[in-house]
Amino acid sequence: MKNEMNPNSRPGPMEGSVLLIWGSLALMAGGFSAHRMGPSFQRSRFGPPIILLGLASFILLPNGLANPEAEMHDSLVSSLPWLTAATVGTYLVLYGAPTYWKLQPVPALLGWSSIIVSWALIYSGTPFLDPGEILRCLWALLGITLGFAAFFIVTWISGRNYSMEEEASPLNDDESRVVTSILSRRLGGDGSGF
Amino acid sequence: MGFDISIALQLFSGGLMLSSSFLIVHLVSTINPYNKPVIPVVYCTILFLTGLFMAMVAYEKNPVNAARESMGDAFVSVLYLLPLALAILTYNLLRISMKKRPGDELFQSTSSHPPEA
Repeated sequence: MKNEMNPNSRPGPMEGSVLLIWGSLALMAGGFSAHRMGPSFQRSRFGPPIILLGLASFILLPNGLANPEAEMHDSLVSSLPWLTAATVGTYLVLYGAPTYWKLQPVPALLGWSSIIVSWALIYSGTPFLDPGEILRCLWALLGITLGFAAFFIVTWISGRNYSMEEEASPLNDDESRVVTSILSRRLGGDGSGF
Repeated sequence: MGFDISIALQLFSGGLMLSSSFLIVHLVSTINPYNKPVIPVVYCTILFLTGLFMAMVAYEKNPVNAARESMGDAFVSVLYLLPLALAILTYNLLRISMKKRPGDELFQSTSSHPPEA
């Protein structure tokens, strides 16, 4: 694709691999959103495979990328070891923490080991964080935050404008089972009292 | 390092486009009979176009390349800041690891007095 405004611009021609990079990011975002949808004990089963597909195609498939996609690819690939260690560690620490149940020492210890490994990887693999660079990067964070904040405000306002259209219909058998299951889990019984 | 309004605009617009495009993907991939996503999707599209306009001004390039450049730069910036996010996460994980499980009044009351049928 010819650049009409600046012929000496950085990006190369629009290639399939460029579309693949952005498509992979969209897949990861879509998989993450699908995974977070639904009740906490029954997430969408398609979320994790879609995330893995997006991640695999982002890392493995692109060939001969031009900037800025090459820079994105290199940054993510170089951050991936510590990101993986931190993600696994966070999951294990949360699993072993006494927030919802008793403390489970083995997952907690494994989790903390993984988080320590992630910090070691950060310090060994990346140059020391430069305050000027951090300030520069905060502009991107400001844009992201503003986008989310404005979205939530608009969603809240638009949600308030919908009136109650009609009385809700009674729960069907499946919905009754879900509600009974939630209440019985929450109250500690077997659900026979409902 | 001096303050450069052009760089700030490039990164800000990239962040705006990243978040709005993520939200559009989110709304599409979580579509269900109980939500009404039309207004949020339209709004996110407007937000994306606003970011795109700012990026075109900042980079002086055509829409496709301006979007690629600014979103790419914002993506790399977010990755650069992730160790700071990990620091905050580590602090919170430390807090919850050391905290005792809070007493659940509802659970305790129903354990001694099971609900009547």
